[in-house]
Amino acid sequence: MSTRIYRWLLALYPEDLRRDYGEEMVLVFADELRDADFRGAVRAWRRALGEFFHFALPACASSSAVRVPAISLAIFLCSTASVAVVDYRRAPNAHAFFHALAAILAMPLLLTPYISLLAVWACRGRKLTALGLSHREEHAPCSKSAI
Amino acid sequence: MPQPDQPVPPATFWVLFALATGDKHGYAIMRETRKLSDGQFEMGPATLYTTIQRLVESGWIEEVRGPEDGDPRRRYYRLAKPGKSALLGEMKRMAAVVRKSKALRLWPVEAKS
Repeated sequence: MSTRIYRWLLALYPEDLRRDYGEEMVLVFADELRDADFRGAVRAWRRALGEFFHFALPACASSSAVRVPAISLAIFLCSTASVAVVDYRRAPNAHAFFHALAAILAMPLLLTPYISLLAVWACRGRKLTALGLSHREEHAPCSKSAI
Repeated sequence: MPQPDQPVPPATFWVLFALATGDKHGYAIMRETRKLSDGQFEMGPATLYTTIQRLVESGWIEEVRGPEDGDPRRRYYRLAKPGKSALLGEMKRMAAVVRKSKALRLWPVEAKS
């Protein structure tokens, strides 16, 4: 299960890294989890998530295919939340309160999977169904950040 | 492109150091790094393979054939000459820092045995 989740996260990494080393990265992560106790597994996941935010998100955020819809959605959700807050201020009843609360609390929850899906779509060359790794696909080279 | 005479980032240093003890695949490099650094330096698969990718591209390490009975999915890596000079250069820089810090009495006094 953990390896499957890691493989999903890997879909958002820069294409050249994924193409050349994706399978080995999954192998190494699986090895790490196999040899680790509970604390080691938590550390491995913490490192993997840290790397995800360091390597994968900046690479995907640079893609306009992700950035434009994500910004549009963020604006939409912010405006929904602000309308709900204004409604509550005008008529502070329970309905308006929960409307505002739901809009504010749901915003990050709604935003995250949407952006992730968009990122997967953008990074996989519009192959939403093909989240498996392939060494044979031709991809444009991505810029690499210095380690 | 990394330069052999320039200081190298920590991940690069530890990967080169791990490979100085022999050819290894990715996970073995990770384990060796942990061992050599006494657990002080740990990296995940993305840091490891981004570093390996850069080092292979710059010729500091090279891919080699693994053992016959090894897992065919794993690639093995070997320290190449430029990588070795970069590693030695970095170690010399570190040794110089230690020497300097000892001369300035910033280094902790070693226990007499």
